[in-house]
Amino acid sequence: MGASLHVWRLFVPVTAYYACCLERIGSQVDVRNNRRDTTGASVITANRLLDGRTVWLTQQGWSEQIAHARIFDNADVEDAIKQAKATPDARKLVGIYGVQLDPSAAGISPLTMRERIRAFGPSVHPDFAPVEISHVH
Amino acid sequence: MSTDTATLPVGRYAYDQVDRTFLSQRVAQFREQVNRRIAGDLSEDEFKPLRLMNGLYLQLHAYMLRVAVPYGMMGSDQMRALAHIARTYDRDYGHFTTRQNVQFNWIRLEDTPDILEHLARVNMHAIQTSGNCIRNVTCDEFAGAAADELLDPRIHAEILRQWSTLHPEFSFLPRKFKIAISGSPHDRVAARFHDIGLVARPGPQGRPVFDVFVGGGLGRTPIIGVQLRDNLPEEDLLAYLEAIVRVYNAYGRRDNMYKARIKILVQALGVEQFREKVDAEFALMNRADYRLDPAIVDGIRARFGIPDLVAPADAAQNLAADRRADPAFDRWVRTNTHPHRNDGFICAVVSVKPDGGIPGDVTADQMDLIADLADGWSFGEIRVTHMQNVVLGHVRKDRLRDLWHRLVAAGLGTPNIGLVGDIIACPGLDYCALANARSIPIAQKLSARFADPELQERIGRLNINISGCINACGHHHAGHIGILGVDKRGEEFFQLTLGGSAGNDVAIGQIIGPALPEDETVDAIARLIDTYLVLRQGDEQFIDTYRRLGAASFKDAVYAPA
Ligand code: HEM
Ligand code: SF4
Repeated sequence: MGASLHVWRLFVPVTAYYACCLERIGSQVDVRNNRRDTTGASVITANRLLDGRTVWLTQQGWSEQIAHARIFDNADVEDAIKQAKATPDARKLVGIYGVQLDPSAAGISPLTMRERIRAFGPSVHPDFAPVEISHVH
Repeated sequence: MSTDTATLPVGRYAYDQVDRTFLSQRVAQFREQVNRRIAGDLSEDEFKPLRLMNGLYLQLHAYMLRVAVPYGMMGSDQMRALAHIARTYDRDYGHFTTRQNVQFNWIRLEDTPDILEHLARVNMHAIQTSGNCIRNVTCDEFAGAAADELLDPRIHAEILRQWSTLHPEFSFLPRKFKIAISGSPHDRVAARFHDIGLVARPGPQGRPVFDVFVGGGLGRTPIIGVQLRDNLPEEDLLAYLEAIVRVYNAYGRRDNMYKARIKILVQALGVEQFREKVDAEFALMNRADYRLDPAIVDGIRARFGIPDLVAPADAAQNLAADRRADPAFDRWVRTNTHPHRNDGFICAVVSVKPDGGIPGDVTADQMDLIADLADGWSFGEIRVTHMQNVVLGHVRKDRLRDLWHRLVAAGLGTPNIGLVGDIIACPGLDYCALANARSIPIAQKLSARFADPELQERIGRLNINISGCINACGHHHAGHIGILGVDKRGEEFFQLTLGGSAGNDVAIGQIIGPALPEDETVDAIARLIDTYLVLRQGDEQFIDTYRRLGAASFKDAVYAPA
């Protein structure tokens, strides 16, 4: 034997399917970002499974441009999220949730900085703002 | 055996066939898992732990891949592979982190198996960069080179890597576990802000002994680690660490993830009781099984390439003459180098923090250039620092000016190491799914505001550390000035802490008052620094003035602008 110390050479390798705490932190963040007022309007968002890009639910499918997003009354958005999660498209998406809009913004713009950054790209790289490449379909 | 010393990578351990087979099996396994996820056979809940075990996170805009750089050491071939990945699969950028790793921010899930395959070709991977395991061990960026070093810590860092990789008992710890190791009396690894911090030095018969610190950490509950053991003999290193991690594994809290780190356990039990439990575990272990025999250590050491440090006798004189001839070069040598153990050589720090730039971001072209410079000037060896910079460890003194010219031409020659421009910033809300606020823009504004190198030198040693949330990836508690992003109803606010430090004078920064809105934060810090310049005495640094006067003198500057 050489000078090897690899414990995994001595034991049967185990693929530990361990629960990850990040998951729980992540879901708390989702709760925080899913909060909305009783009045107002929202859009629905997710990340695409294949490339992780941020997408918004439109009248027909999902778009990288929030400008194309379908707007829901806050009273209706929970049902709309449920419906979106039940469509076959949902299999190609991760983490579908609602995003409240800023009523005072000129165009469609989320209320929180976090969602504005998801919608319009990292503020430190304007050149990385989302461009319309493709739809989920 | 292919351990011909001529081909050993300088500063790193040469992988053997076992390591390579393991990596390629791991890539194949992950490819299969990705396929199953894309086909819909695995749900996101099932898949997430698997991708995290391979360093793949889902962030705000895309997947993020965290690539391990074991103990911060890599070769030019590996840096070129990273450049290729940045160019082919990302948006031409990579990002150096305080954990001495590299992150890619625009990765596609479907590309990831190919990326991992590419990494495996240069003996790299993304294992131990996420999940509740023993993470990638971090190490002194001047290891094996620094004049003040007593012992090269990389050999033992590699031993810890081999011990911890896929350790069957430690793949499901209560929480992540971070180990740092230093062989210098000057702590450059923040040993007391780690789950375990090791400080090595030569002991009897020249064999290493270790001081073992435990239970340090940042995050929600910042705690300075306590010394658990001094003079731990080398032969017991693995047994003793295993005893510590076992005690943690058995008693660490799994019910509340905010209380799951070892630091909370050590606090809850008290260090005496914790030590008793470790000693009891240690006493039960079959120490012979764990004995780190000098022959094993020497076998590992033999797979590290050693630089052939030959310099002309007048190398140091040449450097002195070059410095006299060029004040800009002289300034850079003052700020961006560290003394080497060989008088003909010097360690050069490449600042990855240009004025107004994004701390730690490098383009693919810059990565290729760093690889070329490493080949030309430092035996092909590159180190990533915990300050998000890059070190070329063994540069001949008479060739330093040449290197500097090339760095400057590529925007990599900013003379700001350890100064106000050398800001640590986490990715923050521009990328991170957990963030409350953006870190990078604050860093950019501060670094642009204090760009003047003369002003920076006058201000002196000052670490500004910025985190976008309480997880503290930007080490804000350990900054002389710490900045923490908080969220107030969807808008960004920033809380300032003062007086933190990660070195031998370790301290946790104290909150100075209420959080500031984003547009007031940079001005408030500028006033704070102005105040320090007025109040400082003699050759005091910021931290000294703060410690002499306390927070009160600075509070007015932050909250009561003239
Ligand atoms: C971008 C995605 C990232 C995520 C999701 C993330 C997540 C986290 C979380 C959840 C913690 C807290 C752990 C705990 O207290 O139990 C943490 C701590 C930390 N992370 Fe990150 N992080 C990220 C990026 C980074 C980066 C870029 C760096 C290096 C610049 C980094 C370095 C650290 C450090 C040094 C700590 C504190 C160590 C400690 O807990 O004592 N992380 N991270
Ligand atoms: S400190 Fe928070 S915002 Fe910054 S990288 Fe860590 S988890 Fe993200």
